[in-house]
Amino acid sequence: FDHGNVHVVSLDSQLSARDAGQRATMRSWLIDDLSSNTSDWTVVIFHHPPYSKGANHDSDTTDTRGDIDLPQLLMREEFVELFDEYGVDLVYSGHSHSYERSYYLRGHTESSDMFTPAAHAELVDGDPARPASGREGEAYAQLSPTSGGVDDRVVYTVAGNGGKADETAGRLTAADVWLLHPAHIEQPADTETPSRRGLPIIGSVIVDAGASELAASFIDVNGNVLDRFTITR
Amino acid sequence: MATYSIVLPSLASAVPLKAQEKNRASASSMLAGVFGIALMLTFCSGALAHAGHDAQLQRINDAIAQAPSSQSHYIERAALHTEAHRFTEAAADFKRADTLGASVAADYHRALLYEARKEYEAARASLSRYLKHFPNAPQAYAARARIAQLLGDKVAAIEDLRSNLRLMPQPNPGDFITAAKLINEQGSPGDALTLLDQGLEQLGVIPSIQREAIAIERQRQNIPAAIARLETLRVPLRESARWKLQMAELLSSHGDNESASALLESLTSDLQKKRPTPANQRLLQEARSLLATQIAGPK
Repeated sequence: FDHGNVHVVSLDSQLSARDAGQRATMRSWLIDDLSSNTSDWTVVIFHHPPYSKGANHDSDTTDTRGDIDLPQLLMREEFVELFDEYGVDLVYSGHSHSYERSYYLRGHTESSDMFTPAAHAELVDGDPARPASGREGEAYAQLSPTSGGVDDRVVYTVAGNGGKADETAGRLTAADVWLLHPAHIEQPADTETPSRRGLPIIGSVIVDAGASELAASFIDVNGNVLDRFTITR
Repeated sequence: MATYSIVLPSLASAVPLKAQEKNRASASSMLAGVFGIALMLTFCSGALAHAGHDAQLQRINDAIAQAPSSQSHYIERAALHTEAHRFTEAAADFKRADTLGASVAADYHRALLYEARKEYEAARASLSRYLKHFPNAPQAYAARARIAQLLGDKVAAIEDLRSNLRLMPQPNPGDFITAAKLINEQGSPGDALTLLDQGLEQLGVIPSIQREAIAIERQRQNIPAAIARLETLRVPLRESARWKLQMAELLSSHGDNESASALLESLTSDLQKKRPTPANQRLLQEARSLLATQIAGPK
């Protein structure tokens, strides 16, 4: 659907994980939808984040348990490329009960150990040691300078913390990688030192979309803005 | 300034069984009540897939402790064990469930256990028993179709997919496409098209269904029919650049180069005003290439 100048697409990452045929149909449908899209901004939402080190929901998991239930892997391998190709700006997911937010990414379809800022993140002045934060002074541009002025990058946000926030890594995510996905940006509001790349607190996300700028914020229960990034066009 | 706010929900909880338990005490047949429970369980299976398995398991264990003679609780726990590939535990719970009520009530989920263990003939037999008692269970037909495909029995798979489509009040477009692909593979493109048209009639002009039909028409070299079908997607796809390119390709292959060139000029002009996404850049390249072919003419 369209809301103002924002096109929003909702995908199924749950049941489609069990059915390659349905998944292929969803891909075909998505290509048609995004090809027909004329809105200024494009947001895609689905439950299972392609990148997360949330409690019990490490997106690097490859334990097939008989080839079922790898929705995070499947969304990353089969849909991230479409988001890059067809001008998606933002992806929002839940599943992990924490807040995590990526760099401005392109082409990261493998496991987290294969992520490098040089290959996958928008860079400040082309410096591979400086992935851009999207925050003040490092706003993203819809036509990415790092990509040569092409609209092929996406910010991925995990926000499964509207009603609950995990306080530990859980059983299925290793404690030493909890909230430390390298494709995610460090969160200065984190109470740990050094800051982790996620926030284990309850909050909500809000997106303000204007004609030439989009701002996305994460707000805690007290109304404090703990993370904010902008994309200009 | 337009503002869009979203709240992302956490996982869905499983439907409590108590409402279903009341059905079992009703005056209608026990099997009808059991069917209700079994059907409810099939729709719960998505919710069981969340990695809150431990919490789900605890809930069911607590329910069994409260009602140790409840067949449905054992079936539900067996289904959860199957999901988690704890096959020994699943089998034990099915065995227990069989002592507490009609074994057919467990046959759908028992089939899923057999499927997970790659015992496809046993899975098919289990589903056939289930369907003999519950002939209007679309998901059982869908499961049996899937098993039939795994066994290489495409004829049986097609028959079951047709039953699934007949019984589902709102089938997924993919259900029509999967069935049509199989029918086409069996050498009946006309029947495949009939089924796809049934899907279009039932669900509306769904681009993915129509695209499958277009592919079959092209396979049959029936380009005018392919063009007519693609024309029905003009409005749903908002006459996108991708639509224009595909229509131009069809028109060109049908010898209507004038119309094809006009479309290509139009889409080239459109794309130059659009954001340079990789997809749009590729479309522009293809359009220019096709236009150059049009201008050059046949060799």
